[in-house]
Amino acid sequence: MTAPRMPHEAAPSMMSLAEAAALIAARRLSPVELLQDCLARISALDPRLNAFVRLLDEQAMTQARAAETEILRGGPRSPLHGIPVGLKDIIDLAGHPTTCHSRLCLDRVATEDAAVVARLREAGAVFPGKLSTHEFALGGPAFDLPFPPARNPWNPAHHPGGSSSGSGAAVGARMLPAALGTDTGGSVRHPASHCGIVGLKPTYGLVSRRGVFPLAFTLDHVGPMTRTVRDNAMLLGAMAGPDPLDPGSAMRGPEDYTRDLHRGLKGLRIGFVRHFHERDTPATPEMAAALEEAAQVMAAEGAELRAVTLPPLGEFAAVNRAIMLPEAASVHETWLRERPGDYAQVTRRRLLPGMFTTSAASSMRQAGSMEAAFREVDLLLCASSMDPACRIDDAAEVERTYPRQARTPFNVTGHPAIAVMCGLSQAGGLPLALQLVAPAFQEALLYRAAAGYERAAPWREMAPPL
Amino acid sequence: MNVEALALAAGLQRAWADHRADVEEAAATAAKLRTAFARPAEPAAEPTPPYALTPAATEAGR
Repeated sequence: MTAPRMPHEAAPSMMSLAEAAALIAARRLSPVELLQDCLARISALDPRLNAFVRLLDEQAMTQARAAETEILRGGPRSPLHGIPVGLKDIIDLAGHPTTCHSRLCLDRVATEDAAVVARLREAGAVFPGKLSTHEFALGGPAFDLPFPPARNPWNPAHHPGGSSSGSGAAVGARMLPAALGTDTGGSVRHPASHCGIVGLKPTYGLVSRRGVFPLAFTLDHVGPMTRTVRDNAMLLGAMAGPDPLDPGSAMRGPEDYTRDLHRGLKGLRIGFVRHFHERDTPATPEMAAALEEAAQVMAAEGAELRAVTLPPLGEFAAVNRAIMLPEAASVHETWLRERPGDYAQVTRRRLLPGMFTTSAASSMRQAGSMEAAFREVDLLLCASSMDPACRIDDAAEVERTYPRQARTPFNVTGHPAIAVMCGLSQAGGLPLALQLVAPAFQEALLYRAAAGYERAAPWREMAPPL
Repeated sequence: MNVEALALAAGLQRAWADHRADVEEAAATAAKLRTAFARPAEPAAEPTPPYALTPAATEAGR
């Protein structure tokens, strides 16, 4: 493009989405240059991290060249114009397979874009590839599938979290500035927590799920995964919006979710749900200490911290399973009957209980308890995972730690929840994370508080030692 | 609990033949789930979608 970048500016792949977008708008960075640098990093790192199921480099380069031409002629359509965004491989991209990381869907070619992809395409985003997931967004890291499991960029011997594992690894490793994940029981926030990035589960219905392979329709959400809170708010702004063809759509228009990022934490009442990680599912001592330290940072920034009590974590998890299992089984019923051996063992074991369970989804969501809390405070603070990422080849430890989390309550109640890094484990140098939770459709408030914490804490500048 | 009868009734003949341990574990998991939480006395207090309950959903930003 016209003006060269200054020597002190980072390599394009190392920039945040906001930084790259600003340079693209100023015609000091070409979308082609950005994509080339991302592709070089993918080429160097993905053989170790397995974040990509399918690299679409040629198609993405065509999109980047078209974006460059259009931006030179008339400026960017949106802040996403020319920005590479990875797609979890349960999200349809027209003309390409949506494999769901499963041999059951290897030849399932999407005929049209998922609604959220269509919105991003309209905003000018570039799609460099489809990203690894746990099989059908449910199983766990598995070694008996057509593609290897994604690995943690902070230590490739460790689990990156899931099910949006490739999205977490790709963004954490600076292979991509942004990716989409999906979250039915925590699957955006889990890899965000373990990969040291920012992941949001929006309010139920804010982002269309049309064209996304369902896991449990009344719990499924599509969410943005980025390196910073600002990037996340920018990406959500391009994803959100009504969809009459998604029966779960809240039919609300998008907002400028960046509007309050500068306002900080001062004056916000934050309810700290300590019993989740102290009593219900005890966190490791360093995770508990990191949460306490984060609460102190928020208080020092002017927030008022109060203790809040919600129903026990185990009760939320049981409700989540009681809704998810029969809904997932209804999707997989035919395959479970006819091709049970084609699933990874871990997926089959997680799906089969739904064949023996009946749904009573509408009568046990526990949303009332959360709304009572939100009459007293503006936001909730709680743990995300109770442990740092375990080794990916330790199946017993994966199984033990997987349910030790506080994410599912907000799939059950539908409230927006964001995972943000809040420390590093001493033993392994692996990310620790907190969650902030807001009332329905208060994403701008959630981003405001998360950005206030992010600015006050040192973690945003830390990157995996790759 | 006759797991085989449940499995066959659910159409899982093939899974019962080839992955019996997984089916047995699944039936046990499902059985535990039935008593894992207290059902609310007033179902109408827990609507779907959950934000239907939310006065805050209609408020402007704070």
